[in-house]
Amino acid sequence: MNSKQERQTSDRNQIPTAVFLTIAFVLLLSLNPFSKKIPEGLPLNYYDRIEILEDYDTNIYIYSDVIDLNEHYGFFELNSINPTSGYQSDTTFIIIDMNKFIENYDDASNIEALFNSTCSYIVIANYHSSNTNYVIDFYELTDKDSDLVFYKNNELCESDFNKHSFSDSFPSIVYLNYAIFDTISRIYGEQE
Amino acid sequence: MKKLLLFALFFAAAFVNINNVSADSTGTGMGFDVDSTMYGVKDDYDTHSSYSYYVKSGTSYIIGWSRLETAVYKDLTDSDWALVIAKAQAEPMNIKIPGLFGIKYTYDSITYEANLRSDIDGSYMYTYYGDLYTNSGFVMAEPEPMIEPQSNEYTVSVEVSGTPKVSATTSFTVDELEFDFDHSGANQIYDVTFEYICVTGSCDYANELTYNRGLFLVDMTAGYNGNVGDFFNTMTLETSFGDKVGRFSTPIVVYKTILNTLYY
Repeated sequence: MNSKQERQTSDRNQIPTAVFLTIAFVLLLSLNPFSKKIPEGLPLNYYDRIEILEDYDTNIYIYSDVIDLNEHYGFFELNSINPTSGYQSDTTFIIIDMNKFIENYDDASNIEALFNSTCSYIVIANYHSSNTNYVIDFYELTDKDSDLVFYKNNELCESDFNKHSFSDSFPSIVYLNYAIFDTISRIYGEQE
Repeated sequence: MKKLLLFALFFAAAFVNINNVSADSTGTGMGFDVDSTMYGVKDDYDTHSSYSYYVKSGTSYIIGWSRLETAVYKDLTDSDWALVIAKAQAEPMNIKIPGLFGIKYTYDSITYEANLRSDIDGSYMYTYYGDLYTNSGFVMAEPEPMIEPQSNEYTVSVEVSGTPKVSATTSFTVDELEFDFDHSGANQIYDVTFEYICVTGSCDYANELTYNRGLFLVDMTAGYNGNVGDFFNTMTLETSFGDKVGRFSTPIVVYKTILNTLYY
């Protein structure tokens, strides 16, 4: 075998390696293992929304057994609805899951007292899916079929916040968590 | 173009009535300067948002968000009239979905259409057994037949002014939005479809968060037969989203309807 033949054999041996490397490169590009993983079904702006919350130093308090913000944003877990806790920030959101609320046979007046004592946003989650009959003073009938509604006491806070209310339920809690991020970032956008 | 000019005239005419004195915060937030002397503060406001889902292999993918805000004002200077304002928003959302061999690709979502509709006479309201009326609400003590407010005529306007209709980062040309307008005084229907157009492959407007607004005046002199105050009206927003590629081939469109209720 002369040197030319040896070189050709060597080149042929390198072809599978080159093909493998090309495929691996394409897969690497398409799968992008270094990017943060977005939960299945959610939009590409997922982490952009979370960044907005971080930029505003958003404080989220959650009274729920299932709402966990997909474990992508830190929050304070509430064990009870306490109207005297002194939440006053414009960047504070208190999320009340009606599923937990009715399980604990809590009194709707606690939510009303909280609403009337704070300028933070009160977020009522899962009102529709909990099939609750609770009548909450500020909760509007047109939101009866909603599973996520953002309210603020405009009279107390002299604000002109227009509520945000989703007209229907979410496929799973993952989507509801995203809707929380999404809506909060839109509220900030409206304030600018 | 004639249509556009006509709408512009309608719009200008409506704002001659409204004037720009000062407005309540709800109207301002929706982008309207409603004359406070003439209309005071809003008598009712309603808003709902919704996601549009593209379902593939059993998974729901969010491809769009839409919101409808509506408000109604009594005309304090002439009890024959009421003013309804509406603001519709639409934002397409891009996603990664599995394609060939399960490899994910970017689904470039765009807005196709946004339809705002209100049938004054045909407005309806669902009631539930055992519901109760309160001073602030409108729940009924007992279910009643469908409530049908009536009016003989009203005027309508659609904004086509030079006001920017998109977020500040995107330019907008009128070529990228068309109207399909179906207002009829005889049928007492306000119906406008904002059609998003891609011009020479560019879908700038359809790709962005956009808003469209409308307003109409309701003639209150017609005998109102409902038992919910003096005014009752429902308005729907139907938004359709799809992929940009589909716009130029076979579109897969996802429709979503939002319903708002106004009453006083």
